[in-house]
Amino acid sequence: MVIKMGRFYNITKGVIYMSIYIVTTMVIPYFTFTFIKDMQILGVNIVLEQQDYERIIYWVSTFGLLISSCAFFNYSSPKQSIRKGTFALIQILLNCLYIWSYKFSGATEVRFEIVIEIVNVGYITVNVQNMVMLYMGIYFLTIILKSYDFLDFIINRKTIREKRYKTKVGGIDVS
Amino acid sequence: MILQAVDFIQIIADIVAAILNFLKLFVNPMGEFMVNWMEYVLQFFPLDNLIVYISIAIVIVIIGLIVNIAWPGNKKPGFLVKDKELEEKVEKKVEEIDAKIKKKIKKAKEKTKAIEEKAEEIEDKVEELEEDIEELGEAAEKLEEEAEELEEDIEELEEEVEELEEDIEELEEEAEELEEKTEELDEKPEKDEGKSSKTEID
Repeated sequence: MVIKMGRFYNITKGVIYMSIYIVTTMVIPYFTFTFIKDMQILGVNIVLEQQDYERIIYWVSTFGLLISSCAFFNYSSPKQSIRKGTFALIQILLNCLYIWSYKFSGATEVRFEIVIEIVNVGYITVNVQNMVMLYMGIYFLTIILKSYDFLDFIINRKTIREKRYKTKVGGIDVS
Repeated sequence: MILQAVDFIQIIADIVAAILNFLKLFVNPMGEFMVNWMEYVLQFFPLDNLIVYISIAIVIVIIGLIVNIAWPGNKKPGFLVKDKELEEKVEKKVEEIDAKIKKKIKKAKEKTKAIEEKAEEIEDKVEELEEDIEELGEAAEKLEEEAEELEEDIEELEEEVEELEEDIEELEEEAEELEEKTEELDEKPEKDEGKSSKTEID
């Protein structure tokens, strides 16, 4: 799909992506943690024994806000521009911090108590620390990729601009 | 039921653990590096102060808006404007050359058409001439035949003339003979008259 670049188009695109990031990084985690706070499976109450629920929500909100605002800047910028590269890299770093916030806020090691009619019959502990570490490794590779893009945008700035404006449409964004 | 669910969760956990153990060698060192720098960076993030983050987010969005309004990315940079002028000049020249070439092609086409027409006319004329030559050849043959016939007639006439001349000569000879005979006959009566006179005298 070929669309002309322009103020309105860029800002609309930025707003759409910002909304997506707000939903995925803030709204969905908020409702998920609120839901599992008092969860009931097969008639058995599983109470989230997470003292720092508010702390998790705090970090999710903070990094969610930063990621969403950076997503706006990133996706509203012209394709292959330096500012896009810069904010894409910042966004990835913030994503790493966001994922890591789950770990240090205690969300990666959640203990559920199984309660049947007031009687506590045991507990389940869900530890996803290794999964978070795996995510971090993948993000490391993503950071390298984005850094390469960023350097490429800086070094080949002239070539990129020439390519962009040589099109008869007057600069098109095919993303 | 709960025990069955727990078993199912255990199976999933085992599968995930197997994948993680496989990737551990490659990914964990990267993850550790990430953890180190993140723990360092997170020290500078303020705790229990959501307003700071909200204001940072608002500032980033406003800056994004301003930057995108000011530089939407559809204006050509200075160095490309000069290139564009050169491109326009080149395009104009190319168009002019194209127009000239088209004119020349038109003229050449017209000339070829005229030449073709002339060639056709010449071909027609050549055909006509060939037909005339054939006709003339036929006429010549007829004339030759007629001439031959005339020659034969002339020869026949000459022979006839010769014969006639011979006849004339013969006739002339006969005429001469007849004249001589007539003369002789004329002379004979005169002699007879003389003889008779002599006898009378006697």
